[in-house]
Amino acid sequence: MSSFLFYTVNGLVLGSTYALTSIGYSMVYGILELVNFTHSTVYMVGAYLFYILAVVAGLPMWAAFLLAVFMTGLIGVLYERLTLRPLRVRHQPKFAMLICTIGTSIVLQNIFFLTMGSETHQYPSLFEGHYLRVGGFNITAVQLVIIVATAVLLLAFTLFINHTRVGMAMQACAQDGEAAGLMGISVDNIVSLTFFIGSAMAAVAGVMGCMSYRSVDISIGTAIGTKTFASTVLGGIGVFYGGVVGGLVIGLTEVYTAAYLGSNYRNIPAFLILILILFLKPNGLFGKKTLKKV
Amino acid sequence: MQRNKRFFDLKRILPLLLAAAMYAAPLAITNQYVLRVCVYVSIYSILACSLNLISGVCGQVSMGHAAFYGVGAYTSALIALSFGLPWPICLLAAGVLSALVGLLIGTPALRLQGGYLVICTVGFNELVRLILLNWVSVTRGPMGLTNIPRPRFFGVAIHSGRQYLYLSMTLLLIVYITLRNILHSRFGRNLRAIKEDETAAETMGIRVHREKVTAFAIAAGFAGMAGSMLAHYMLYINPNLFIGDFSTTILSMVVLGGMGSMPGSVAAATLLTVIPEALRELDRYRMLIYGLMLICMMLGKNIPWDTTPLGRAAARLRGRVKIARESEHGGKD
Amino acid sequence: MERLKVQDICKSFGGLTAVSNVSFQVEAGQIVSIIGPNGAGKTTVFNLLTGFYTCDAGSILLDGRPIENLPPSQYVKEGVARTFQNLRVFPAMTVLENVLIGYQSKIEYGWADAILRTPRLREQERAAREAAMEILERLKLSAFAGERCAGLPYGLQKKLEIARALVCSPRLLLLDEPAAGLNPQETAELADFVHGLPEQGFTILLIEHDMSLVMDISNYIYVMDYGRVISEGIPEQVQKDPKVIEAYIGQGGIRHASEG
Repeated sequence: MSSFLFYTVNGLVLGSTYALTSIGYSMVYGILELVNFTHSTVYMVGAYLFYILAVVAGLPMWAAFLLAVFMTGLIGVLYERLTLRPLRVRHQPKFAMLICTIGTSIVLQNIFFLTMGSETHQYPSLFEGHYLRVGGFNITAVQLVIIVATAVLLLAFTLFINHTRVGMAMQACAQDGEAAGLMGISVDNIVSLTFFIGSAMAAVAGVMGCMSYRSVDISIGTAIGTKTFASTVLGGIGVFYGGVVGGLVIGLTEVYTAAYLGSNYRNIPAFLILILILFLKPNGLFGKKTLKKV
Repeated sequence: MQRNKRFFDLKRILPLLLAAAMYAAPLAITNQYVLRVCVYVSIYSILACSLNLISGVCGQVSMGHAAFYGVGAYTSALIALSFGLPWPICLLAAGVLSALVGLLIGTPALRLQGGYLVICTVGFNELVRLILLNWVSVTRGPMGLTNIPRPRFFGVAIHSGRQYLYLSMTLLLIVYITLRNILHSRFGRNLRAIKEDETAAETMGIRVHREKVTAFAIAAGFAGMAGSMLAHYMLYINPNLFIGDFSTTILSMVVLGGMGSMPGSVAAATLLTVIPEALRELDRYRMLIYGLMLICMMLGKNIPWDTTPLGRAAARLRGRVKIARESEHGGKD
Repeated sequence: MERLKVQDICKSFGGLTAVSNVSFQVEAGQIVSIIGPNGAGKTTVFNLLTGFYTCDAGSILLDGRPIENLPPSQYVKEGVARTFQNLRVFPAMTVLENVLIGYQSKIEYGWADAILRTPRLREQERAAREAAMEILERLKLSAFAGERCAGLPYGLQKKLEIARALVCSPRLLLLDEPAAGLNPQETAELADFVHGLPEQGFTILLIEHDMSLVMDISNYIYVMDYGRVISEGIPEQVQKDPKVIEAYIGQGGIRHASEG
């Protein structure tokens, strides 16, 4: 029983990082109908920036965290401006943007590869040495912090999206960008904001994920990429809380699979779930059905 | 009229000349490394051309092509290793099994639109990699399959780089001609119509989903054959050869060469194989340059084939031929 | 003889009734029009007739054969071809290729023929090309056969869409607002062309907003409003029907009145 609790906490931690990252996917897909392959790399970028600021530059943790999150947000805005907006403005087909996001992803990954190397670095953590002992297992303090922080962040995000003018403008753009544009909403600014928030959230997820694993390397983005897709699709693309539920489900399944079936199989359920949900209910658990227009 | 006639003939003779040149060229290559790169160019061309059928011509963007390549490679290698069957049979089996997997996955997947299809194929690719990696009793997991037998013809094993090049080139030629013939038939037209407007295509009596799935299965089958070629050339395969990143590379070949253009796919496959090889010196920066290249390619706007420099040249050539042919046609009426 | 007989078809989306108990018929060799204000359910009827929506109730008979609720791709084989309200040609394909797509249901060769380029394929492709060119000739579009459709003026693209439907040799041709977006001269040409189609053996069901066009060429008219048929008759009768006038004045009537 206590082992189950232990795995559940681990699953929730993992799920939290998926959930936070999935928001970025969901928002971008909602507005641009684009599968953003750069997004999972941004998760790695956020984690690394924190590492560079906190360990290499020696900033205090809180400052390094805030700065890393902010900078990652800016990187999100920047790559959208430089590589996606020109295509969007010229009404280029979606796959052109898609390949562009893949290119950006490769570039970002290699910038960090060239500067930081491909080796695994030890990652700083919070509240070292503090843990809760449940049965024979240790639940670390940082794990609990991650779960609580995720919950708070998601709550704040929900309030923002539903109760502020900007948040509602974002929703309007997601529903019908053209109409929103006609109503005087600056779609370009909203898109920038979307990339900022999405990337910043991914950075938070990246930092927290690495804190819980105590290590960082340049492949962590690729590792979570498809799993975060899976979370997003499971919940329904464009439905934020859906992505959150999806993230938690995928995180938990992954940990349980690793625990009870063997860690070789840990990555398989995410893809099985992804493919099954696409075949059975492509709009996800919480997505709405759309009527085909003729 | 005379002049036009000559043009028309040129168009018929040109491919033959090209093919002849293609077959003569390996005789002039003595460098083993160059031969090796050429074999890879042929294999990647098969992959790019086949993906072009479904993604370029029909507009169904798939990022899981490497999975079929892998299924083919493993099928072929396993059949050869466990039953000792001759390579042509392995090749065929690889093609058929990959096509069947394509059919199985394509039937539900091709009901999905745009981004969803992309995600689904990415997931599928990853799933195949994980299966190859974890089904150790059959695939030997990360160790991969070794000692794959070389293809034999009339009791003689294919050995030299040049022989392999002839073999892979012939396979490419067969695949290329098959795909070209499909493009020039009602099926090619239908696939293009589906890319443009599914609803209108359906109204015109095209069974959209069936056509898409068929094209997908054909593409998967050819990718499987390319996999078989690879397996019996490298004599060693492991799951890392068939990861999603490689699917991305194949897709970027299709995009670079122009969506829907088979010669473009071959040209782009050549470029994207040769350039990274040329960049080996800058090994550390290779992927960075590749990433930048992808972005520049897209921003440089080369989406409709006719607007790429290559495409424009081809369009001019085609335009000349067409004018020639039409005036000839007019003469007949 | 009745070519098309529609009986009591109904369609609702969620709680919204788009078409309720609509019945009408089209005699072979005639031009029958459905008119009505925006949102009256006309295009929904077309979508029901071509399988894009499934009927909640009712039956559709083409020459006595039930054709309701088939997959959309089946209708060309049954003998129904249509055009769309908002132009749906294949823009990146040439004019000739567009028409060849229309002809494709008559082509019988299979994948094996395609891959091997058999004589059967060559024979059928030649026949297809000839048929397509003949239609283009008839619509005076043959000069543009090799051109990309996207480069053509709107009026010609509209004509092309009709050509693409005609090459299917449909027993029933559905035209959804063929004159929308055309200038008066193009409209007049179109009217002439459509008017001549029954002589060539075509039967036409037409949705149109341009009243003068409808009144000029229709043999019979059905008027729809709020998903129902509210009036029917020959053009002169319909024009005088107070229910029709009310329907139009009640909803954007002034614009239509001025057009008519």
